[in-house]
Amino acid sequence: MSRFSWGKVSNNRLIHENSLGIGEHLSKMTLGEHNMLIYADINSLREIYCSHSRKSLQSRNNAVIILYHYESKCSIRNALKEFDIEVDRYEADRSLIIMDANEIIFKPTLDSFMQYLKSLEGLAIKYGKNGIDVIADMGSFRHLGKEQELIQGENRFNIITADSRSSIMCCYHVKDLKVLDAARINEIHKLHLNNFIVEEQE
Amino acid sequence: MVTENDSKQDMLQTSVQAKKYRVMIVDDEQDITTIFKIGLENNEFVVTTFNDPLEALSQFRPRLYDLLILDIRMPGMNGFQLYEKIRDIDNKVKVCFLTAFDEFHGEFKTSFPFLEEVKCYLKKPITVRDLVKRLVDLANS
Repeated sequence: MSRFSWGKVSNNRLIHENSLGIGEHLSKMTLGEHNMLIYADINSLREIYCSHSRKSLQSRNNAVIILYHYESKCSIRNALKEFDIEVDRYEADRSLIIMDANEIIFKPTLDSFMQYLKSLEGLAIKYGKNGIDVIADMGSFRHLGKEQELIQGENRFNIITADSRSSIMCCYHVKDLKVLDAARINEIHKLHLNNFIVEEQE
Repeated sequence: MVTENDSKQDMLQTSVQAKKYRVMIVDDEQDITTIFKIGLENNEFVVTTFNDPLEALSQFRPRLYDLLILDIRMPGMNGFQLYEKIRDIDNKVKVCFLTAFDEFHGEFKTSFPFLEEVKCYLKKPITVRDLVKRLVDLANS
């Protein structure tokens, strides 16, 4: 990924690594964190959400929600299976939910989505899980022309995760960020605890 | 019943009909553009592909293409936004939108009124044969 100007974001919150290194960082992530991941190609994103999901489901006893935008449910299921994740079993016991971000984040409203997350968190805990790890591709904001609501949405994610047993990782394709103005990009950065930037593989 | 001969005849007919069409394909997935390019070129289409909508837009010129195949969800600029810009350059070029999703085009019609006129939506995965047929139908519409 070509270096992109990240404006005034403090350096200690910007973590440039390859997908393997970011996977290591994410394995230390705790519930309640709201992080950002910037990727330039879908293969890197795939590696990261697969390893993150495997650790969440198999080692951390968390439920996982993947909200995709540029991939299909079928391709995500296949990618997870290639990482030896028992997709059918986890979907059957509702530990793994894979949905189109376009169909849930604003349908019908952002508020309803937040309530949905809270209810899923409650259910996960009721069924013996420690919490929920949400991996959300934020491409749907731009796609649906909801750039104005983006900051509001990120703010809400901050509030909802702060006092909860959910973590949210907001994934941005670098081209979707570049179309935003610098002030908004800075604002988005600041609303996340860590900003992981996936370096291209050599 | 469709026989093998009918299919071959159908393919031949489609190839002849498709002969002169120049197509621009824009999809961020390189595998898709490669497969479509090979499939369409085998059917006598002249194909140009792009994996970046902004690059496709910068290279676009009036009367350079007869048909467009545009993926809907692409980073940086979606297919509807790209077509809106392309129409300002060439309002004769015909478009087919490509998607792997059950898109609700209705909700985009307010932002993109031209979608009222668009009739061609292709759902991935699609066979080359179906793709060729849809494009020939579109070109002749």
